[in-house]
Amino acid sequence: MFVAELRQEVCLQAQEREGPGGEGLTVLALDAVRDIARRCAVQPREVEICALQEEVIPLRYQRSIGSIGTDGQLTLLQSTVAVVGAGGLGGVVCEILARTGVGELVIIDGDEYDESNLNRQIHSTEQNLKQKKVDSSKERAAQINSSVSVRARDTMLSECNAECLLDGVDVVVDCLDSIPDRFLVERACARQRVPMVHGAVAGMMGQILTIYPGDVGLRALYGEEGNRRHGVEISFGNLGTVVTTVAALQSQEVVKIITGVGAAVRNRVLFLDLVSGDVHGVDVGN
Amino acid sequence: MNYVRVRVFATLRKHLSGEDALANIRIDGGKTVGDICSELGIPHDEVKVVFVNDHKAPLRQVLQPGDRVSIFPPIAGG
Repeated sequence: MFVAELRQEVCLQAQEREGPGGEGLTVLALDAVRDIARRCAVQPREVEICALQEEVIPLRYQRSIGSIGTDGQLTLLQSTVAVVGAGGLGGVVCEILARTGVGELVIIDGDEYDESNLNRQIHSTEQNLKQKKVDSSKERAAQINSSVSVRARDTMLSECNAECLLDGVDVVVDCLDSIPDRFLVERACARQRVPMVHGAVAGMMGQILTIYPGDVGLRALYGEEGNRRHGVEISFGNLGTVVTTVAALQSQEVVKIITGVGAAVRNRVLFLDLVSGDVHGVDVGN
Repeated sequence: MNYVRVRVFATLRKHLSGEDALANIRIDGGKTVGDICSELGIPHDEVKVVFVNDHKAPLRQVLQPGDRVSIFPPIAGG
């Protein structure tokens, strides 16, 4: 009865529109999503899921459907992604995934903003220095897309809490800044049997690699773990342009993994040399 | 001629002259990746990832004429 009522409301408030290519589209505007959610006492995400199941496209995702289809958008809304680290890479990843319509984000970081973050960490402002990064990212996600629910975890991932924090997630995005912590996430993902999207930057260099349990993974990039904590970013720093580029590529990996559209950058690392503008895809297979 | 083409990245650029961080290095008598690094003055502990012809390779790998060698330091910032 409840589902039927929700479906009926969606069909009643859906509108016919002409798409960018002149094709006919049935869409649902944001106001309608909110109205139906209120009337039926459900979350906006449930309204959007119901709409997509009826081939009605929530207007906010109209420009995504051409690439990932209604099934892809539906799967994204039904998925949970953990973003480990909410600094330079993590902030941008949260921003993009909220806009993309990933249904649930688990954002993990125990740190707070300081002035040295302002050059690259997209959710840091002069007004929120000293505030918790996870709180700002959660607030921002809510402003962007009320269909996305956020679990903000004000803590650093550790061997003790990893299982609990990553429980039920579909993909983990490694946005950390230390090599041992990245290995910790990789081990936790292997235990949870979920893929991990690695990204790292140093100056005008960046790299991404998607790692599934059993892949050679981070060993290919850092050797056996534990021999050093940081890479050459210590002398090169982190540029906002490079951080944003790498985070966008990590987000794209998440979209591909969840929707099944395209192939993940797996067993092959992408090195971005943004000094020269070259991208090198190199095999790091088992 | 027995040459390999070597490209280095990030901090390792300082070991090559010129803007493009590329060098053609002669390999006679079974040189390895490690030999090339030594020849360029790159300390082995600064080298984290080496690719030969787009495949990961160890420092002990013997090079063949025409190989493309890419040498990366570790990067881990977020």
